[in-house]
Amino acid sequence: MPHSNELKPDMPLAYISNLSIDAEQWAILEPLVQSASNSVKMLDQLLTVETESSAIFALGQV
Amino acid sequence: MNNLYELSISEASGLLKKKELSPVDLVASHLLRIQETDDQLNSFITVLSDTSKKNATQAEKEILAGEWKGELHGIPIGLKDLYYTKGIPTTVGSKIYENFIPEFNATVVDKLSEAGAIIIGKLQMHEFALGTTSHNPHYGPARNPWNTECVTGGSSGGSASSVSSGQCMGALGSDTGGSIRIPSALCGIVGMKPTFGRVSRYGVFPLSSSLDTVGPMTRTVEDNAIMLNAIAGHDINDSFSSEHHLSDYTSEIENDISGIKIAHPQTYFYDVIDEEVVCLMKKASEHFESLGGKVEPVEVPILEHTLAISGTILLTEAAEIHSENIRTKAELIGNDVKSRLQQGSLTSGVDYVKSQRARTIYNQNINNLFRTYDILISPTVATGAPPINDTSVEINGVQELIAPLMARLTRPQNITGLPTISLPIGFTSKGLPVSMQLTAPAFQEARLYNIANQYEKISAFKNMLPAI
Repeated sequence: MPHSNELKPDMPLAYISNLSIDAEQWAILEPLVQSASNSVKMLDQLLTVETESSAIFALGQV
Repeated sequence: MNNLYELSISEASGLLKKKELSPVDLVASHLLRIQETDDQLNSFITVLSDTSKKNATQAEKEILAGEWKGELHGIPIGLKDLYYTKGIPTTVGSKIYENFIPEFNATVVDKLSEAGAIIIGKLQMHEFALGTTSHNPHYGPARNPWNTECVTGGSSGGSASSVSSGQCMGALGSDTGGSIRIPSALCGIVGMKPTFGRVSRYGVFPLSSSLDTVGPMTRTVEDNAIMLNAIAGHDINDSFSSEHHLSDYTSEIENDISGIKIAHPQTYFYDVIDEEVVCLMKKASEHFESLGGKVEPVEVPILEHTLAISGTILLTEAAEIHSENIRTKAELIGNDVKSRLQQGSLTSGVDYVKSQRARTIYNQNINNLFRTYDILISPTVATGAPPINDTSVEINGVQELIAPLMARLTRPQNITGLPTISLPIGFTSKGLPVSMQLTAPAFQEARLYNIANQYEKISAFKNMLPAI
């Protein structure tokens, strides 16, 4: 499920230009940012396990 | 011994203490070495000739008066140019801070001065410490003393080239993703990334608040321990500084290491690596076996995700530190560093938190390993130093981008914050140094120095000086 604040292709231009990113630079950056974001998505399965473990631990304390 | 700059710190210190060597002569020898070699190496941004001569004269008076301060008294030391030095420019390797003159010293600079060390100059680095080559667009590339057409590695490239070539006897670097260990490995010296919080970062220009560490770079293991003795300790000015008890880091270095259990992770560390480095690591393992150690291959869960974890945390925290620079002075930042800062600025909060949570899980896995093993060994860098102007290097028939390749094997240890020492294990067929890194549980730097020193004693790679 997508997160509400993850990178979107239609990111407001004002925000990007505030970071000194012009169209040429954006063409370089967009695939890098997307690739990094995809790498973090690979952590989801790991984090789910951790969350479930935590939940089980919490139940055990009740 | 033909030249004083060839001495190790421990050798010179013994002579200084016995008044058989003058700090004035020792510093003069290193200043001459800088004068003779820095056109080729470009290690220094600022050379402190007058100040270091004056301080050497003072040290000589003190030693002759019987006021020997310890093993660093009269020893010429270099500082990566991100350590605040009162009244002396501190550029952080950048155009933006080229005229920045701090009004106070970093805590570790004061500690070195109190120990009697002579600060000989400020050293080249990758801009803002955000890169692994020290190919600096503002101050030129730092050049590797073993082959001046090759990179030093980074970001503490000037620290590594100056120590390796005998321009100074030791230097301070900083390590956020490998910036002490990578250049130490590529220049054939010893580099220590201490436990996160062991050494104060107050007055050290930051890059990533949850990953930054500072530490010594030297030509021998013992010298490295001597330097850590001087700079380690709690500092109320650094909120991440630890109050964990201090050790004498030289006290255990001669201990027998037979019986130690060594974990040798395979997957990830050997996925993208030059075959020559693999062979040298095999020999290093055999050396440990000959010392009575037991080396066992292990698999570390989540290791394959550490680049995503560390990359997200490092770039996001760096973007926060440089948020004003990237908004108002981006045109003054080199293209590679600017892109990394912009990338970090675009990381979502969700991704940052995910990475921090995954970091905790990874750290638990590593700490579990230390229930069975004393240390963990791995190669420091997957190849010898690449040529300065290349952007990729061939590894087993595949072209790999140099920038990410350099830090691939060092970033996992920054996530954990665990102490890790890099030391030489041999040379490639092109005559370039190769190193391994040893990682121990938190605050066990003394144990690391012990194991590294025993290894160094049976290796042929102690206090090496390239022919430059």
